[in-house]
Amino acid sequence: MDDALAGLKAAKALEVEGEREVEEALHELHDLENLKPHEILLKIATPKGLFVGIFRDNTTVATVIETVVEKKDLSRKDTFELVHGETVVQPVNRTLESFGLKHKADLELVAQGSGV
Amino acid sequence: MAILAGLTVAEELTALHEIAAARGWTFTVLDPLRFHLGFPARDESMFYLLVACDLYPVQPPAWHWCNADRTRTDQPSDRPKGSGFLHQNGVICAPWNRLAYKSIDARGPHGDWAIGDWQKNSRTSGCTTLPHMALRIYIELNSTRYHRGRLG
Repeated sequence: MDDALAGLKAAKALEVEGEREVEEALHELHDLENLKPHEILLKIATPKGLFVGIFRDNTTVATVIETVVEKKDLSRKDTFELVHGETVVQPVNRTLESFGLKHKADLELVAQGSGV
Repeated sequence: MAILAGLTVAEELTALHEIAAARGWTFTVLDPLRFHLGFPARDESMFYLLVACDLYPVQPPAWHWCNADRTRTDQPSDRPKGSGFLHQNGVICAPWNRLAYKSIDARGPHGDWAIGDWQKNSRTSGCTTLPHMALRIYIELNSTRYHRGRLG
């Protein structure tokens, strides 16, 4: 009986998770459908949670970092860097487009030098 | 001390939970001072950490590599093979990891760091919150410093 209840609970959790994923995918699809030409949807994981924003593809990396630091109220004492997969997106005076970013990208924002 | 740790952890885990949900990482809070986190490396293999935050933020948390179902910690088969930060001793080599201090853990590479000064250590940089530390580990596992594979 306990096993059956545990199974039921696990199945319910999976169902809720599945529904959440579908909802997120629909949201994302909606966001992407509404993107204008030359716009990029960025989802940036920061030390203060997720930042989601739309930028022109000719926006510099420095501007993106500055925007996120301001919106997420991150410490201005730190120098931050954006990371995309294996790449630290530098130099920051280059545009998003110049790094091959288009439509949608997941990035991380962390303090520079926090790896040993 | 435990109250301070509990409040700090609870506040910081809100941001980590948000990131984990968005990225599909596994994230389970085990009790007010411990949580379990899992994320993919650049070869898409999964790595897991059991994080103990007692005495945090006076002392840094302890980031233990562990398995998916939390039945074992600090085993070579659960530790990534890498360099620098992903230390060959099997501990994350950063001032914000309690296990990096030789005074705490025999595998700790650093006898020269003072644990009470972890936030002022120049190697900590701005990495002083739990979500920031988690992001840094994720980034390291997805960089070329992760040599694909495990220590055992």
